[in-house]
Amino acid sequence: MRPRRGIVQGLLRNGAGVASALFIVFLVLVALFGPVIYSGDPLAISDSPMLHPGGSHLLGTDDLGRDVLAELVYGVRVSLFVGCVAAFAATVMGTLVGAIAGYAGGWVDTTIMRIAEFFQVMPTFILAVVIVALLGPGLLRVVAVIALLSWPQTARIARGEVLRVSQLDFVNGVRCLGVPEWRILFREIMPNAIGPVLALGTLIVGYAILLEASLSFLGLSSPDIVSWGRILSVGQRFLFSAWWLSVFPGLAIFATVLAFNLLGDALGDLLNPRRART
Amino acid sequence: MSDSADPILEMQALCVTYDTHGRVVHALQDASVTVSAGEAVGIAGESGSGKSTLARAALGLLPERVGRITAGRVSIAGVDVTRYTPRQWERLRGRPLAIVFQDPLSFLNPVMRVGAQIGESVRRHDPHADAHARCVELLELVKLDASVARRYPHELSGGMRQRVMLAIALGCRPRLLIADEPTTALDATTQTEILALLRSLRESLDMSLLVISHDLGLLRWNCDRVYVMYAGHTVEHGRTEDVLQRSAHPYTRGLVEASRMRRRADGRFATIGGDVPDLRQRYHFCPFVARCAHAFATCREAMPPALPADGADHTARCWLLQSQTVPA
Amino acid sequence: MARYLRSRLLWACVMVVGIVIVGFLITHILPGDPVDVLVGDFPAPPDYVTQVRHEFGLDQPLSTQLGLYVANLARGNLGFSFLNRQPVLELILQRAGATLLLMVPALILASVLGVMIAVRAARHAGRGVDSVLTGISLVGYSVPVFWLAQILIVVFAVKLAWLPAQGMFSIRTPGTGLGVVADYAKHWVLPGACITVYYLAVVARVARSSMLEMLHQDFVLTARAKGLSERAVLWRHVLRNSLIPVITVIGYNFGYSLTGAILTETVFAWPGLGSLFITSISNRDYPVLAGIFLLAAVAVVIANLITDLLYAAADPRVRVAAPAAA
Repeated sequence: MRPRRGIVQGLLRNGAGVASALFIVFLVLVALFGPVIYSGDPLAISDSPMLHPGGSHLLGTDDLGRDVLAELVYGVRVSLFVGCVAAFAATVMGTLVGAIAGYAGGWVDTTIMRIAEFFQVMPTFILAVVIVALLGPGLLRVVAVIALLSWPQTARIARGEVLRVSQLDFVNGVRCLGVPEWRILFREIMPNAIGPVLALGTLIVGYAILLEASLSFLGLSSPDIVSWGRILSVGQRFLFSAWWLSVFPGLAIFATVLAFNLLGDALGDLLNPRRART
Repeated sequence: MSDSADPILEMQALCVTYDTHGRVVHALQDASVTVSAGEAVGIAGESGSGKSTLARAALGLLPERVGRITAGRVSIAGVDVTRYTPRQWERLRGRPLAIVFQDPLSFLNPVMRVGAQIGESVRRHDPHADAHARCVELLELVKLDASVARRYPHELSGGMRQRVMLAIALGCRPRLLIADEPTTALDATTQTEILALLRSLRESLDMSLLVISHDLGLLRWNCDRVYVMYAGHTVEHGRTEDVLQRSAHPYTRGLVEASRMRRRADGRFATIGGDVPDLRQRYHFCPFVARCAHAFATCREAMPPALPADGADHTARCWLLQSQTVPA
Repeated sequence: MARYLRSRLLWACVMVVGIVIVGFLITHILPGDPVDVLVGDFPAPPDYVTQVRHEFGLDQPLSTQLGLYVANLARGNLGFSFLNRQPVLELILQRAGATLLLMVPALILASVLGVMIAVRAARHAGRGVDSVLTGISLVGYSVPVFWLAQILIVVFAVKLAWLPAQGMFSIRTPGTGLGVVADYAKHWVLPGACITVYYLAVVARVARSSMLEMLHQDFVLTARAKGLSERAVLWRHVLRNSLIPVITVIGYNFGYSLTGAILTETVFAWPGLGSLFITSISNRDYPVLAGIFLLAAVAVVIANLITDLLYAAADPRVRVAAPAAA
């Protein structure tokens, strides 16, 4: 009962899903090979500050004379890193916890979900800001905070799916064959429960990227890393004179987050076990 | 507009397809059913035979954009409703045709009190009546206490919910009540009660009944006439005792044998061998041919018409009847 | 129902306790002297520092410290903000009004519009209208709010000069009367739009998928079979059921509204808790930061509790068995 077959075909049928997937592949390539094209330190001053886009600086330069396009290219790595690692961690943690809660039931379930609720209540952004303000900036810190406060959402979905699938008849059938419980959970139930979890995971990537950009925008990121949000904060100061410092990094963030959200939606539609079947 | 001699429901050679994302299923391929005033008619068949589709087609309840009538006609009280728009259907549903579904838990609105749901039916079809009083009346009719009106569906037992569904349908003052597997989700004792209720309602309200079920025993005790469906076709039709005791179609015979649960000479239960028919194709020949022990050449070439069998108004679509040899 | 609510209330209290403990821990994770967190980076008079040390028992074991911290909180003592020369609690209460004036109208607008869009989209699911509306809500969900704010300012405040770019009131604001309301409304439009866009997208997404699921439910078939008009089916049966998860989402949104306000208030210099939060960061005014954290978390707990109440009121099935998680 593996629903893997037909996922690629289904995704291909969804035009937006394809476009966003391709865009993400493009981003990954930029992240991997960008530094090859733009060798050298993007944070090094390369020219006069506040140059308009055009010529050797396609997207202009920032207030310190750094090439905006180079910063954008390097910024991809930061965004993808934060987004993917945070989403991955949150998804793995949430799925494990949620699956155990859903499968075990009873007081284990109640306790786990209560704890999950507590984590979810914490305001993620505020906590991230407070931690960074108190302990200093750091990508891993940001990733940790996001993952710690996002796993409850995944846990909830995973638990719901596990509950649904464990009620299907084939589980009892396998049980009667004498397969041990933990094996049933991991080999039979979880592969069928993965769908909505994956869709949510993709959405978390988008959320994490926005959060990291927001932190950088507020000036809370390390000056050693290149983040799109930081360029936007400069753009804020020069809103009326240097429009390219606002438009391009903002566009980059928007496009990236949009792509992940579109992909998440496409996956969600595709992997939704309750798709109306006549 | 309608002649009282017209049958309340008439379906002739009806074909219905479901089209989901390019996958086409021919749920009904040639179904003909007629129900007249005061009758109790049954439709027998297993899952996939198209009996539920038939019920929905009778009320224009096929899923929007997915289900379509591709051929044949449906008429209600003499009016051809085959091409009716959703707007036209809205005015027609409830009276003269009402329907009761199986497994009422999912068929009742979970956040609305039961009384309100019955009241809706009343207000729609009896706008000048006192909705509350009529609701109580209907509950009594289905042998439920008036206090049930304030409950929610999940607070009631299966049997009670089925009675509520009945009350909702009766609130429409239907001339024909269609019951789609009315007792399948219930335990044996409740089944008997509901069936007895249906019978008494039929008499007291002078209402026709169309019962759809895979349970032959149920049909035997409640219906004057019976249709047998297979692969979207109505393959046999006649008076109940004729069809069940002097079955003409091999499929019917197989059904009856299987329902008796008697062992054959070799100690095994009687079943019908082979697989359920694939409804993705249209059958221009007999759909039962793959599983029939008596099939011969003509069976694979053309669909048999309704041929007369043993008994008045008893017909079956089987080539065996043409040669008038009824196998032992 | 009463039992369900009692257990939720109890758990809410437990969570508040947990939040307080987390708040306490935060003020103690700063490497170095915890006094700095409670006093802030400002040069404070030494007597005050000693007083704080005493009040919060910083030379004493952690458990005593926790007790004193809680006691202080109960008395309303969240510390003193030297930057603003006010007790933190007073400062927070002062600024909370502005944030509410920004968020509440935006959330209400977003919820109403979101549901309307969702109904439209669900009715015509899979067709042109649906794709457009879903696309719009997807964009609203993906746009960085601070970028949107910048663009709106450039277009509407600078290029077109229709609306003010900053603040909640003009400098020369009429003191009372309709003029004040109009002034506030003019200032609200741009920041309000930024916030509405995001929450509208969230609500529309949930409402649409919920409605689509409901439209395929069996009881809709029964409603149609009764002969009800499509409008009656939609409003009386489908909507009532599909709004239940939407209530949950809207409730959560109200809870997280403080978080949502931060970036917008910063860009528009709206004098609420959000901008207070940001200035406190750059000025390392830690007592204010900790206070806002507490407030935000407790607001979520309260909002969730109210949402649970509404949920139980809307869905009678919930009242029978307390779900393990809302």
